[in-house]
Amino acid sequence: MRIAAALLALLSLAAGPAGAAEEETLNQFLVQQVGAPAGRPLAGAELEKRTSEVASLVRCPVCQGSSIDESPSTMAQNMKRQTHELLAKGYGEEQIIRYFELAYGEFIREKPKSDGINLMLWALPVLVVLGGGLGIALSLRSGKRPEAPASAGKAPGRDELPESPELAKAVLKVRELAYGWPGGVSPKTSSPERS
Amino acid sequence: MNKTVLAIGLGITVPLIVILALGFGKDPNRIDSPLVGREAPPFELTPVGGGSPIALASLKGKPVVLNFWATWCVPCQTEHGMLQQAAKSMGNHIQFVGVVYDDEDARIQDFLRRHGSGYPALVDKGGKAAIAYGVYGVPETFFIDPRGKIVAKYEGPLSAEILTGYVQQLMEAK
Amino acid sequence: MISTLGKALILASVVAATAGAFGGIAAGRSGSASARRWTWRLAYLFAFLMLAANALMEYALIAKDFSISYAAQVGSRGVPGWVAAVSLWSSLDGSILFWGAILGLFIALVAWFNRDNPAPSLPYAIGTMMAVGVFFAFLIAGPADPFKPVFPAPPDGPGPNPLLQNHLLMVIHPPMLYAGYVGMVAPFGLAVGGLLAGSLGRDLLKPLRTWLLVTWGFLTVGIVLGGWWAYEVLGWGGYWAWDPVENASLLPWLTATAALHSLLLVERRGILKGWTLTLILATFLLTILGTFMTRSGVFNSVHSFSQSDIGPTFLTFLAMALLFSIGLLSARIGVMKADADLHGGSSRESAFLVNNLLLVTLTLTVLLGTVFPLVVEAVRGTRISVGEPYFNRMAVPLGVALTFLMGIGPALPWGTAGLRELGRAAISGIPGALVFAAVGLVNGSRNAWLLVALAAGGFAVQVTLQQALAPAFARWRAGGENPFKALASQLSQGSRRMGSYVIHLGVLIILVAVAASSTLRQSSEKTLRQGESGTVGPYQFTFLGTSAVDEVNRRVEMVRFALSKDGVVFAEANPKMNHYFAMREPVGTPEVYSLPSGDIYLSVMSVDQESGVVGLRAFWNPMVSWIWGGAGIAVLGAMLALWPSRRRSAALAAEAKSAAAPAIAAGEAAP
Repeated sequence: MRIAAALLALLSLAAGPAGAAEEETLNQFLVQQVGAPAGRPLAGAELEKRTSEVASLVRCPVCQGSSIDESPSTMAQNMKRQTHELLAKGYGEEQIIRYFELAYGEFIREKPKSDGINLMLWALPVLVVLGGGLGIALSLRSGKRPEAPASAGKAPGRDELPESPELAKAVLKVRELAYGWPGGVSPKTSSPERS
Repeated sequence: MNKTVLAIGLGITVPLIVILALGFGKDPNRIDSPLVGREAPPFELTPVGGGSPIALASLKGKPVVLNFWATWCVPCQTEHGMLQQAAKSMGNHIQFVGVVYDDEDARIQDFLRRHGSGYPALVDKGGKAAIAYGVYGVPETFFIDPRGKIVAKYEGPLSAEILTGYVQQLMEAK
Repeated sequence: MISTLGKALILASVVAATAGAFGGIAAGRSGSASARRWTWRLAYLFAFLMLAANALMEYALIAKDFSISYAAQVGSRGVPGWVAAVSLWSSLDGSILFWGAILGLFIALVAWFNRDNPAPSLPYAIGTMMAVGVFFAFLIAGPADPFKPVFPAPPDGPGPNPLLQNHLLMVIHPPMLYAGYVGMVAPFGLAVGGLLAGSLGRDLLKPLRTWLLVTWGFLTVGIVLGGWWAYEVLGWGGYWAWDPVENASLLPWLTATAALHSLLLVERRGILKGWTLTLILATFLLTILGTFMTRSGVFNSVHSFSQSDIGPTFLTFLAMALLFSIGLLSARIGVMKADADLHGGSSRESAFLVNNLLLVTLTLTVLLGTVFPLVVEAVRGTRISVGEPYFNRMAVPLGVALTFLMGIGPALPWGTAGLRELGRAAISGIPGALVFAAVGLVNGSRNAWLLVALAAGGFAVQVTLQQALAPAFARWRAGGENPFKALASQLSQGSRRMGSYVIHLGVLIILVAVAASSTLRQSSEKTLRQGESGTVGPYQFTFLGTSAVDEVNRRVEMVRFALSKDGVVFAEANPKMNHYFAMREPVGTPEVYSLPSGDIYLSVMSVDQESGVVGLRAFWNPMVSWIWGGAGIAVLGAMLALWPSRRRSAALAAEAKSAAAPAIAAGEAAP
């Protein structure tokens, strides 16, 4: 029965709206809510593509978490169909989303508005990347400094061995264990392989 | 004690815990209608079985109880009888209007024949009126004052007590 | 009878876990061998009690003993035996009981494999894990008790959720994901042990890496299988929707991945110790947060279990674990001194640092987006959504950067790199990048992000293959060994390095396939009469007819389609519509026809009996099966990396015998 109803609705879409008066009332209401169509009327393949794009920005009110583009529920299908009609009439993406928002609330927006507290959402990740990048750059730089007075002799370089032969043997053994280098000697010196 | 670690750790986790704790007791699926307090979206819909369309504008001057329903919805059946009676007794002061959502004419007519019909049942093909009213599911009922402003919205089946409460609110809003 | 026995087992496990937690801490503090022995015994006992309680519940489920509350809640006389058996994890209380079994198993295994490990941190580690065990045992004993007696026992039950009954993936996805979540208790315990004992030596690093990698593998499989299940069952043509519960599983995966990389820096260079331990603690805490998200009813999600009252208990545990971890870190992080300085702007070390930064940023972004609706509601009182467009916008650049890093990182040398080495690394993968981008262009991709992602992927694939095969290649060139033998002997010497490159290869395949399938996907919505056709991607589908079968609880309507290319029919696809008698809206089951180049995905929206018209959504999803394949490769890589190599195990045995040189602490190991 639901299916038949959906089909009827589909057919009525093809055959034109149920009544001119109904259509007129709705048009007036739309203009009052979101203003006159802001774009140009779409048709054909472009209309289909935009319908899917705009619908993916509108959250389905009755299903959990999916957009009206994806959801098979009747409500989502109706809303997607209306999106299709509105795009064909020349309404813009923001106007259509705004129309649904006025009825259902801000919750309908899959992509949150970028104002007020929502700015946090966009700004924080950028700040983390910038701050972290700066931190890494600084720690690399500061790590370089103590390396400069190498003559101080406290930190052996990566391929140097300690002077004490016993300790040197232990280090070589450790390198062999840790990296699988035969004899603890980096194959880098003998072959082009790294690490 | 590393104060930086402590500060960063608490700075991230304390707000998180507070936010999560505040989330309790709220149904994540329930959202208040943004329409309450605003002008009711106009509609012009054809009654079931045909006839001239009825517009919300033509009902101005009388408070309106606008009920979205469908024959396939069980809670709608339970409230139907009560609404018929209420329409009969309060009909002089209040206009009851039903909008049938996602349904077929034949089924609606059959339903109304069996359960009675005391007020208009309008057909919302394509669900555009339901979308304009931000309807999630049926039954949902809107209470509209004589100037066309939505005073309240109720989700779920109405009982006589709940209906009376809202109707009083409507009459006071006058 | 079963009810009493089950309760007794659970109460005993509470006692065992509590005693084990105290025993572990005592053994850690005093170094007493007998306290340690008792802690280990209690760990085995806890595992045994949990497994026994689960076996008991399985018995009740299979025997359909509806006098046990959980069996009455999910059982039904009508369901087949295997459904009854797996319904242990189909609902809240049972899943927590099952959780307890996995927890016990993990603790016992860590204890067993480290029974001779002398690290002073180990008793603390086992004690910490047992403390987590106390919480879960308490949860099963009280708030989520599945063994409540039901009197009188109902004659029949409702059976598990139909969506969970119609695909075999639902049998293996939850156990894998649970193992990926619960297993994180092992690295957590070991990290806490390290912090408490104030040392992070080689004998602790080894189990830390092993258990992190094992659990990472389970988590990877769990997440991918979850996506696969959604794809095969839910019918909207996708596998990932940035749903809160999906995000919850991704968060610990991201931090675990970051920790696996920084752990390498700890092992090789003795740097980033405190940071790595922080990542490991965060990973465990995120698994608890994820569990809370799934089970608290605070989040709006398709996957969430129904409203339940264990939310507050869980949140309390989460808060306690968070505060404990933060306190411990701030008190003890100073003990974890680095053995070396970071130096060199363009070494492989810096690539690891950038990798960590990107992964942590991604973690924080996903976390922020997931909880942000709650923040706004608390602050402004309005409800908003943060949906796919936000996550895609943020994750795509980070993902592309990570992909590129997977190419440039392994090409960089350790230590300090000169400009020439940097330059060589930067051009090393360019042929691969060009090939992948060209393949994308030829196949009609005009999306800039996709082309960049493909180029980064191609770059990384080439470098990965080069690096993985270089030693074998060198042997083959130098010694004239046959290439397969060269590869085999390379593997026998160090499968760990090879394993990590195989993991990279698997992940790269996933990343490229995700990029391609999400940008090149095509869809078409059609209403068709019998004999009519439609087109999606390079293929056509023709509606042949319908047939219906009545089953016990539903009517299954099969809609038959012929798939063809250029007029040649090559297969039949049968998406279904299931009419459950208890539900108004029918539930569709899509048909996925997989080809190497992509999937033809047919999902029925409606079937009208009278007019014979079907409503259909058809998708062409390029490369989707590569995602599942890539995950398989990544898991193989993880197994390879865990496989003890001949050389290393021999060396370890030798080391154990001759109580090794004093320099064997991992810190000094880094040259």
